[in-house]
Amino acid sequence: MAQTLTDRKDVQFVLFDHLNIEELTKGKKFEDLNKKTFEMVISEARSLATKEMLPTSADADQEGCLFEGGDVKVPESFHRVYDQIKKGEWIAVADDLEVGGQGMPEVISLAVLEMFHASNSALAGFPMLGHGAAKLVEIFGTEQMKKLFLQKMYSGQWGGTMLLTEPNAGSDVGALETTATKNSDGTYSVQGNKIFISGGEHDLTENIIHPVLARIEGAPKGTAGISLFIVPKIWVNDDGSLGEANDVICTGIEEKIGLHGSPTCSLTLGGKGNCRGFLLGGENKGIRVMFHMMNEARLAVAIQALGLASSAYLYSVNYARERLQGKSLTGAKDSPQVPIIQHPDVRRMLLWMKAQVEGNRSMNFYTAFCMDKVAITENEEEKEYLEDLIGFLTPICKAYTSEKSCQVCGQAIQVHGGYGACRDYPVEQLLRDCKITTIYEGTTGIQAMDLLGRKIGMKQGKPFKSLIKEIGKVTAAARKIPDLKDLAGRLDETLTSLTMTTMQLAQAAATPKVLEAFAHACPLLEVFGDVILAWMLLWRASAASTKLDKILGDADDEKKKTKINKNKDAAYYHGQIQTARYFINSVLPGTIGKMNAISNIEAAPVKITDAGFGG
Amino acid sequence: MAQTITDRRDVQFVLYEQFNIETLSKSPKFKGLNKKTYEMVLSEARSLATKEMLAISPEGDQEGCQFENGKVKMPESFHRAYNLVREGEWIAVADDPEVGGQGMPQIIATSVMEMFQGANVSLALFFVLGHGAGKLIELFGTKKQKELYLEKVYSGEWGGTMALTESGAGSDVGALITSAKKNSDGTYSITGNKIFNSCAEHDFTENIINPVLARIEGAPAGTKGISLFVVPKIWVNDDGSLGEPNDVVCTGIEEKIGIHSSPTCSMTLGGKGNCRGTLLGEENKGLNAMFHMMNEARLAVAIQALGGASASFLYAVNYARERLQGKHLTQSRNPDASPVAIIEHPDVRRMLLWMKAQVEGNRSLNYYVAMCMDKAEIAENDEEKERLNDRISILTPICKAYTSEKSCEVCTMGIQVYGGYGACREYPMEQLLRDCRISTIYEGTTGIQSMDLLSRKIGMKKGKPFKELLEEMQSTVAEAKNKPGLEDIAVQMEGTVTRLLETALHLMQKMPSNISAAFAQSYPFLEVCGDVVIGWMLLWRASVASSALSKLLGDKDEEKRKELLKKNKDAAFYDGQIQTARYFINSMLPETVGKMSAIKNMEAAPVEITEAGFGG
Ligand SMILES: Cc1cc2nc3c(=O)[nH]c(=O)nc-3n(C[C@H](O)[C@H](O)[C@H](O)COP(=O)(O)OP(=O)(O)OC[C@H]3O[C@@H](n4cnc5c(N)ncnc54)[C@H](O)[C@@H]3O)c2cc1C
Ligand SMILES: Cc1cc2nc3c(=O)[nH]c(=O)nc-3n(C[C@H](O)[C@H](O)[C@H](O)COP(=O)(O)OP(=O)(O)OC[C@H]3O[C@@H](n4cnc5c(N)ncnc54)[C@H](O)[C@@H]3O)c2cc1C
Repeated sequence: MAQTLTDRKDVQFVLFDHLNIEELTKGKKFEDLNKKTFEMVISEARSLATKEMLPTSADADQEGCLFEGGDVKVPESFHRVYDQIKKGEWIAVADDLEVGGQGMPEVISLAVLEMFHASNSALAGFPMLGHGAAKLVEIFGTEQMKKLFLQKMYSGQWGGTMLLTEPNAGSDVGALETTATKNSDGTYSVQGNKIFISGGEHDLTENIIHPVLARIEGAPKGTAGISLFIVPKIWVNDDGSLGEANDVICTGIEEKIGLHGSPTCSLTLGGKGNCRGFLLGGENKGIRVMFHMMNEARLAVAIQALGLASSAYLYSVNYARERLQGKSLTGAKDSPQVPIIQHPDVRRMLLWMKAQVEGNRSMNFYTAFCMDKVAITENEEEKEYLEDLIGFLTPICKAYTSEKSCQVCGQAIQVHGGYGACRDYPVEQLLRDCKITTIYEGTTGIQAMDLLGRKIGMKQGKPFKSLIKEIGKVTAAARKIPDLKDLAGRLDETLTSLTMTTMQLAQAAATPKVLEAFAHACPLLEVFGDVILAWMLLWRASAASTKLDKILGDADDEKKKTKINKNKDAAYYHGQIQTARYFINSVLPGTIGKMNAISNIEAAPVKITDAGFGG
Repeated sequence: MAQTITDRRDVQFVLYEQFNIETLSKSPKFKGLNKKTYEMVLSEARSLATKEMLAISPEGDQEGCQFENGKVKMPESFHRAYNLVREGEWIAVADDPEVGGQGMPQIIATSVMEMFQGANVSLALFFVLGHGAGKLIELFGTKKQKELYLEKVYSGEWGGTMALTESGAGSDVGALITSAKKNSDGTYSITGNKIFNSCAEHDFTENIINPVLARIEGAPAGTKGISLFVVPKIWVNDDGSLGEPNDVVCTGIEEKIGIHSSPTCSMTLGGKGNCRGTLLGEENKGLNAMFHMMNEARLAVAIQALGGASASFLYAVNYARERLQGKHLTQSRNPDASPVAIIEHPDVRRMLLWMKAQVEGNRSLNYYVAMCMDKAEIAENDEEKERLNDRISILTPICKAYTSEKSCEVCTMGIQVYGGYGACREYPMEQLLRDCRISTIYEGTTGIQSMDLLSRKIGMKKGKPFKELLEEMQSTVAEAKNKPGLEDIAVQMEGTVTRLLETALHLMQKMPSNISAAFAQSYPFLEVCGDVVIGWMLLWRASVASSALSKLLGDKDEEKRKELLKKNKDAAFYDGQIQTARYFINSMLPETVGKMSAIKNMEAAPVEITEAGFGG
């Protein structure tokens, strides 16, 4: 049967050939694991995603969540599947066995999450949020808090959320107004209104644990005065038993473009003055604590987007193989209709989607892989090097993957023609579900400012240089492969332009031209994304080329062709090379054009008057 | 109050300053019309669009159409608006008064339609389709057909549709299998199933007139054997009275990503053997007739997309002026700084300026094509007429594909400007994107338009129309070179136009020996053509604005200039035109040039990759 979530072969290739994650098992942390265990986990997750999660996705889209009298009902079908996620212990895949996790590497957990989102993103959001909240408790909680919450959260018995946003505090978290007052028993009374809270209220679990950002009375303005609190929906007594409802009231849910099965809640905390929480991680340290989570959360959103894009791509390939329409461009006059995958323009669309999905998969898996390497390295220098890379790549993963994934979903509709716009086919929902990924966990604009404003100049540009060095390793290796030599050369040239463009913009950002510079933050992030994708695709092509050579041996060209057409593995590896060729020869020249545009540092966006925008 | 839908000032600028449409009045056809009449028409249309059509659009989205027992029920509130459009005679704005039209130029009708579409796509489509059906009858109908249908369709008393698509015949119309069999009374019995038939069943009107493509028994396969028929929902007797239902049965409607109150119908024709139609035009010439309509229909879809994009842009600008969030970049370390309106943030300004460039550039492009139609109508000699028709023909696929693709991107960007609110139904942005999505698909997908441009339009008449188009661009460049503030971008534009010619020549040269690889570049090529056309239009605008601005500014010094820009709305508008052109040409066109290099690479990977290589 045709695959619909993530391409099994491709995921295996990334893990074991391209990144070679088996290397991790040399580390103490993962010494008991091996390729087989990794594959078993992934294959079980795939089966859950395909058999259980996917079939409830379209229904949930239609049905949505119901809000009534402060309660939220999720789509009926979610209950059964959520239980299975719990039972399979899928919430804490990469966490320590001690706290109830499966002890897998991050990169495996990402591969699992990608499938979950590909099959049913609204539902996959619940374990994702639960995990994020639990992680905060694990890292920053007191022993007592861990005892009360951790196991219940990682197991999914209780849900978790993340309460940052308020009507006046979206991108600018520092503007939040929710307050906290210390009580004599050490708890804090929390009061305020939060909006857009995913999973803020629902009927999947008996309790929901809310990490809440609030300002302790008298604390400084802005982000420096923010603290983090653990606010359970139902109070948890010292002995772990459930107490009274904790005055956390859902006042409504949003109707949205997508993710209809995920309740986006407005919450009133302490409306009756009875909402209490525990301080997590020290007074006024809330943002610091959050920052710890940010890399993980941002990567999770990237993976959400990627999963949807991957699914959109696979549906499109399968559809294009089956849909007969139009004659072959080179066929005779009366020739029959052909599957649309034979039309060059459809192939272009598919190949672009493939390059995006596979390139973004590699980029995100690579970043997670770096996290795993951090976890096993004993060398401080290496650790710092890797952490720098992770920090640098994270805004790019979040913004680039989400933006491109939305475009991939849009393109999937196009491949489906008129059917793509119809609910009978899955792709329009994928686009709608994906749209939110460019917004939450920091909009694309905010990620771009992070890149230009913080990451590029950080440590005198060391992380940036590390990235260039890593890319250089791959081009150097690819230069030795005859079929890839020209591509490697092109990428090297592009790297030189990228360095120049980046320096130029970073310098401008430090002058009175700062506004002009920041008007180019997003374009800069995009060119970084393009170049990283080219790097990943070339890296893949190099690994594939070795494999392909082995299969083809030294047969003549004709025989090679036949083999590529007949042997699935050969076709796959050959496909990797074609994808790299396409991206580097057909997309990257546009990227160089974008760099030239950035170098112009055109001031028009700053100079135009507000009235000049019209309206 | 903040404007919605289209920017009045900008529309006026295009009509009277950029294109100077008052010169049309010199011709007999438009004699008597002037700026005042145009403005009256536009202002009435604007009022209808904002007060009636826009107000019910979200409701239409939520409620959608109801299908039950072969009948389609429209949202209740839509009836009133439909009737107001009928009463105002808004369906045939640019048609002859003789046939019930308002006799306006096409460019005015385009501007009206942009507002209708920006306000409420689902509703506006009824008028687009009604008009299209009417036009076919006007152009190809017998006297009798005109007598029976024309006035009723143009007035909106009866609805109209366009029935091409079948499940096996979408992009490939020639594959259709609906059949027609001649009866002894000269009518034809029609049998077949049509899908995706917009507005083919609804409760606005007592009758619906369907132009249907079908194959007469024994006709050749493919497009050469297709004929066009007028198939009314209720048979119309010779005396114009209504007869029996004509066995045209709606079997269902689609649930779609957007345009929820536009019924997308599956139709069974002649399921009981009782569906009759009359031949429109000649036997086997159905596609010819359709081709006549194609320019109009494709432009109409471009305008649909543009209207949505324009509305999205205006909402975004207005929202950005009001939404306070984050400190000013230069105050980011000051804990006491107040939040600013997000329009102050450079990245938000970039988004808005990009949207503005796209909306205004595409507006100019589409209005320009409409004006070429008007000029072709009144051309004094055949040569001029041919030149204009060629210009229309080469630009039409670009309008259809580029405007629709970019409009979807504009609507997406509109959501982004709104942040989380953009994803919510309470705000108009997400519906605008959903409603826009379909525009890249129907009336020929983007892929089909790109193939039309590459395989037929660029090379037509030995490339003369294409070269003339580029020459026209260069004359705009020449003019702009003398305008203050535009010298550098004019030079940039000049180079880009030259590069486009090189790219086209390269592609045409390589095509014969490498047809598949060349066609894998068909959309990238259309896209760069679109970019360059937009650059041209924006430079043209800037050039006109620069002169106007110079007049306003006189020889004031820099300080006073700045002051005037702040105070004088016109000055701000003109300056905005210059900034928009600067932005597009300096920040967007370099990428276009890069894309041209990519096209020239003619990378064969899309062709060489095996089917299995795509995975899945
Ligand atoms: C479906 C959904 C689920 C969500 N789930 C959660 C959740 O679980 N928990 C939670 O806390 N929040 C959640 N959010 C909220 C989300 O994180 C915010 O919407 C997001 O942070 C953006 O904030 P905003 O909506 O206020 O937009 P704004 O901050 O008003 O942004 C509007 C626009 O202005 C730009 N902008 C703002 N400030 C600047 C600046 N300084 N410089 C440049 N550009 C700027 C933005 O990039 C954006 O384009 C969710 C939102 C949605 C829609
Ligand atoms: C909401 C809606 C309203 C509509 N209204 C009407 C209407 O009123 N009347 C009517 O007749 N039809 C209508 N349509 C149908 C519409 O015109 C078709 O959907 C469209 O022509 C595409 O055909 P298809 O859906 O069969 O897609 P396909 O033709 O199957 O196309 C699928 C993909 O393959 C590509 N492709 C197909 N053939 C080729 C080729 N030879 N070379 C390169 N690429 C190719 C396409 O570009 C597309 O990306 C409507 C559709 C929708 C969704």
